Amino acid sequence: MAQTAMSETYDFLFKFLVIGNAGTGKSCLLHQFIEKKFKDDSNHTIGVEFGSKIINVGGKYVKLQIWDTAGQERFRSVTRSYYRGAAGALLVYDITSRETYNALTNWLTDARMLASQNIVLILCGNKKDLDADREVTFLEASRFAQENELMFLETSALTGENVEEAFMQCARKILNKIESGELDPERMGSGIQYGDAALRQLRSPRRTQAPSAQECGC
Amino acid sequence: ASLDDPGEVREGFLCPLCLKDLQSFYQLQSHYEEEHLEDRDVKGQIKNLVQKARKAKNKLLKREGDDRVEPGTQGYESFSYGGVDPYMWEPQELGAMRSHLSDFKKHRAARIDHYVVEVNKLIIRLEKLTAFDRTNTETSKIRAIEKSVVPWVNDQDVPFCPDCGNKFSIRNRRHHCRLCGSIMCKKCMELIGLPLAHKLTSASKDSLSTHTSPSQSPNSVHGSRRGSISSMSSVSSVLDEKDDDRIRCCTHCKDKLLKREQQMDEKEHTPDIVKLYEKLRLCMEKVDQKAPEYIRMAASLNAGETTYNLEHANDLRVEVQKVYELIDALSKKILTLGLNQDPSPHPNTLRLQRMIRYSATLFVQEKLLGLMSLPTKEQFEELKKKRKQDLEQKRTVERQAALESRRKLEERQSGLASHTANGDVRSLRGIPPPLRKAEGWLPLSEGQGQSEDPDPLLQQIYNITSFIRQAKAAGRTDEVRTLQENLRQLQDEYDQQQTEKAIELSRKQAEEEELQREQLQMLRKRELEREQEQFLAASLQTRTRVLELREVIPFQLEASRGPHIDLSYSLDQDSSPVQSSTAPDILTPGSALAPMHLWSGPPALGQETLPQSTMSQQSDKASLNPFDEDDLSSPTEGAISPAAVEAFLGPPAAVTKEYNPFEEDAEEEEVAELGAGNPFTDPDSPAPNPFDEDDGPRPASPAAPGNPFEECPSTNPFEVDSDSGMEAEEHIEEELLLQQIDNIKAYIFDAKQCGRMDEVEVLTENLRELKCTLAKQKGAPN
Repeated sequence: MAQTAMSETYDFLFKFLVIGNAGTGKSCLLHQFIEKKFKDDSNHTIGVEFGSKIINVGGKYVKLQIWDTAGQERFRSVTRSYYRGAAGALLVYDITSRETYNALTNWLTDARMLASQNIVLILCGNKKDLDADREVTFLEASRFAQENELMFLETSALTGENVEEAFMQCARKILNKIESGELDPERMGSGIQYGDAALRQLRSPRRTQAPSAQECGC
Repeated sequence: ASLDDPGEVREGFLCPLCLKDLQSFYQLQSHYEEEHLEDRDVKGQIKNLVQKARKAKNKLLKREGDDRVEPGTQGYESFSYGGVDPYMWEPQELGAMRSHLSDFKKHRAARIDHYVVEVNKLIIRLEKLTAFDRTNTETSKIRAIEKSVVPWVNDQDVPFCPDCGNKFSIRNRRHHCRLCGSIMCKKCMELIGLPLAHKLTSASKDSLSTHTSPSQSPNSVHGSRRGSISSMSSVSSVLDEKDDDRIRCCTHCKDKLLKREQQMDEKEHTPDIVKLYEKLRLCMEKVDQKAPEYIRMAASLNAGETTYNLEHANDLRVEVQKVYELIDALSKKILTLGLNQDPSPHPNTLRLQRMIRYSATLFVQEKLLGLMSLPTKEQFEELKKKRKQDLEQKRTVERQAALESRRKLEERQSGLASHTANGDVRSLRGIPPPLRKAEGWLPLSEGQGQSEDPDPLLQQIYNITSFIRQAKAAGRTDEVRTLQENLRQLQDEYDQQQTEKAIELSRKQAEEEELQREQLQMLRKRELEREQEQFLAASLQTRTRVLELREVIPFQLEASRGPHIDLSYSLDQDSSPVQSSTAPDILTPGSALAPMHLWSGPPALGQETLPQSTMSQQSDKASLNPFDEDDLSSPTEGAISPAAVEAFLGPPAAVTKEYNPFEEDAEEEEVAELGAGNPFTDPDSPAPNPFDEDDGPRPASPAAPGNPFEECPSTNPFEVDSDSGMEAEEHIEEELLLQQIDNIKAYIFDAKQCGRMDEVEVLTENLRELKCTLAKQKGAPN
C-alpha cells in the first residue's frame, strides 16, 4: 500500500510522442515499454493511441504520457495535431527497411516545424533483432543522428533491448534541460507539468537546495 | 639537477618537477600523482623548466663546435628527445634549406639524353647494315654500303690501335668498326651476330607489337640460316675478310648495345620472385573472401542452427585450408629462391624474400587461428537437439510467466472485487483490469475489429472517448484529465474543420453568384441594346414578350421547389428554415437584384422572379454537391445524431416558398462565423452569444466534453439554424451582424492574448467577411 502511495506521486509529467513510418513497430515499442511484453498480434494503429508509465530517472519520478501515432499517411492530419505540446518524441525507423529510414527527414521536418522548439528527439532504429535483414547500418544512422543533433539507439521491441533505455534517455535529457533552465515547465505547450500540487509546493524550497547538492556531486 | 650546466644532460622518464628519473612511463605517472598532485604550481614549475631548457639550448648553440666533439654531451638533440615529453619543447628550427633536385635532374636528363641518342644512332646504323641480304651480296657492294652508313676513319690517321696501343702492320691489320667508323686491331675487335642485331633493331622498330617472342624468333630464324651458312663461313674464315653474318664493331659500341639488350631483357622479363609473389597475393585475396563466409557458417552450425549445410561448410573449410597450404608453399619457395645459385643473390634480395615469407606466415597464423573447427555429424545432431530443447525451455518459461502474471492479475482483481462494489461490473464490461499505478497503463484500442470511420478525425475522437471510458474505469484520474483535454482539442479541431468547409462552400457559392451576375449583366446589356432597338421599332412587342415570360414562371418555380426540399433533408445544416420566413419578401435586397430594378421597368415582378428562380435552382444544385459529399464522408454523424436530423425534418417540410440564394449566402456566412467563434468560447466562461440573447434559450451550448457525438452536433455550426427563432427582417439581421462583429472582435482579442495566431487569422478573415456582408446589406436597400 505504501508503495502504491509512493509511486502515485511524481515530480514531472512529460508528454511524449512516437512517430515514424507505418510498420516500424511504434506500437510494439510502446507496448514493450509499458507491459514489458511483445505484442505479436498487432494491427496497424488507427489514429493515435495512448499509454502512460511512471519511471524513475536519476532519483526523480517522471510520468510519461505517450501518444503513439499511426504511421499511415491518411492519419497524418490527426497525428500532426499531437506534435504541439510534446516534450519528447521517439523517431522510429525500421533497420530492415531502407524506405523507413529515408522517410526520417520528412518526419524530422514535421517534428521541427510542428512541435515546440525545445522538443527532445531520439532516433530509434527498431527491429534490431532482425540483424540478418538489415538494410541500414548502425554507423550510417548514427551519422544521420549526429548531423541532426538527435540521440540515437537501436532498439528491439521483440527482445525489449534498449526500449526502456530509449524512453529513459529522452526523459533524462528533458530533465537535464529543465535543470539547466533551458526548458521552462511553466511555459505553455512545453509538454511538461509538475507532479502533484502538494509536491509543487514542496518543490520551491527544494529548488533552492538543489544546486548546492549538485555541486557536491561534481 | 641543474640544467644550467649543459654538461649534465639527463634523459629518461624524468619527473618534470623534481627531475627524479623514473624507469618507465607508468612509474612516472604514479610518482607524479603521488608526490605532486597537491602541487598547485605545476604550471609555473613546468614553465620554469622550459625556460631553463631554453637557456641551456642557447648555451649549447653558442658552443656548438666544441660540444659536438665532446663525447659526454650528445648535443641538445638528445636532450630534447629525452625522457620529457618532446611536445613541451618549442619546435626545432631548421636552417636554410636548398633543394638540389632540379639541378640534379637537369644534369641527369642531359646525360640520359646523350646516352639514348648515342645508342639510338648505333641501332639505326645497325639496322641499315642488316637491312640487306648479306650472304647474297658481293663483298665490294657490302663494303660500299657499310661505308655509306658511317664514314670510316682514314687508315693513315691511326698508326696504333687506340685500345691496346699495338702498332698496325701487315700482320696486325686495321679493322674498322662498322658502327662508328673507328679503327682497332683484330684483338680488340668485337663481332655482333645477326641474331643480336635483329633483336636490337626489331625491338626498336616495333617494341611492343611483336611482343610474342622478340628474343626467340630471330634466334630460331637465324639459327637455321646459320646452319646452312656454317659450311661457307668455314671456308670464308680462311679468307678472314668475309664474315657476312656478323658485323664488326669496337668494344665501346658493343658495350653500349649489350647494355641496351640487358635493358630490354629486364623490361620484358618478370623475375621469378615477382611471379610467385603475385600468385601469393591472389591466394591471400581468396582467403579474405572465403574465410568470413566460412566463419559465419561455422558459428551458425556450432550454435546448432540449420541455416547452413554441414557438408557444404566442410567443403569450404577444406578449400580454405588448401589455399593456406598453397600460401605456405609459395612463400617457402620465395624464401629459397636463388639460394642455390652460384653467385648468391644480393643481400637486399634475400632480405625481401625473408620478409615475404614472414608476412605470409603471419597471415596464415592470424587467419588460420580464426578458422574455428566444425562439429562432427554426431556433434551437430546433438547441438541441434540441444538448441531445440533450449528454445522449448524458453518458450515454456515464457508461457509460465505469462500464466503467472495472469493468475496474479486475476487474484488482484478478485481481491478488488471483494473490496469494491463495482469490481464485478468492471470485469463484466470487459474493460482491462486496473493495473497498479506505478506500472504503465495502456488502454485497448477498440476500433480494431470494427469498421473504421472514414474521417480519421472522427475516428480519433471515437478512440479517445473509448480511452476515457477505460481510464475512468481504471480509476486513472490523471489520464482521464489528459484524454479529456485532448478530446476537447480534437473536437475544436473538428468544429474548425467543418467551419472551414462551410466557409469554403459559401465562398464557392459567392464565386458562382459572381459568375452568374456577370453573365446576367452581359445578358442584360445585350438585352438593353436589343430593347433599345426594339423600343425604337415597336413598343408593343415588349409587352407580349413579358407575357410570355410570365407564363413560364410558375413552372420554373415548381422545378426549383422539388430539389430544394430534398436538399434540406439531406443536408442536416440547411439554412432554408430561416429563409422560409424571409422568403415571402421576394424583393429582398440582393445586390444582384438591385440592378434589375433599373432596367425592368413596368413588368418588374415577372422579370425579377424569373432569373431569380432559375438562379436559385442552379445554386441549389451547386450547393447540393459539396454538402452531399460532406454528408457521405461523415455518416456516423448523421446516424448518431438523429435528434438533429429530426429537428430538420420539421421545418423543411413547410418550406415550399421561394428560396433565395443570396439570402442563404449571407446566413451561411454568419453561421460560419459563429462556428469559427465556437471553438474559442471557453465552456467555463460562455461568451455572449447573439442568438441566445435574441431568440431565447438554445438547446445546447458547448457542453462539457464527454461523448463527442453529443457535443459535436451541438457545436455544429449549422444546427444553430434549426433554431426557428430567426425571423430575420433586414434590420434585425443588421443588428445581429453588428453584434457578431463585436463578438468576433472580442474573440480575436482573446485569441491574440492566448497567442493562437492561426485562430486569429481565421477570425480576422471572418470579420472581414462579416463587414463585407454588412456593407452589402446596407448598400442594397439604398
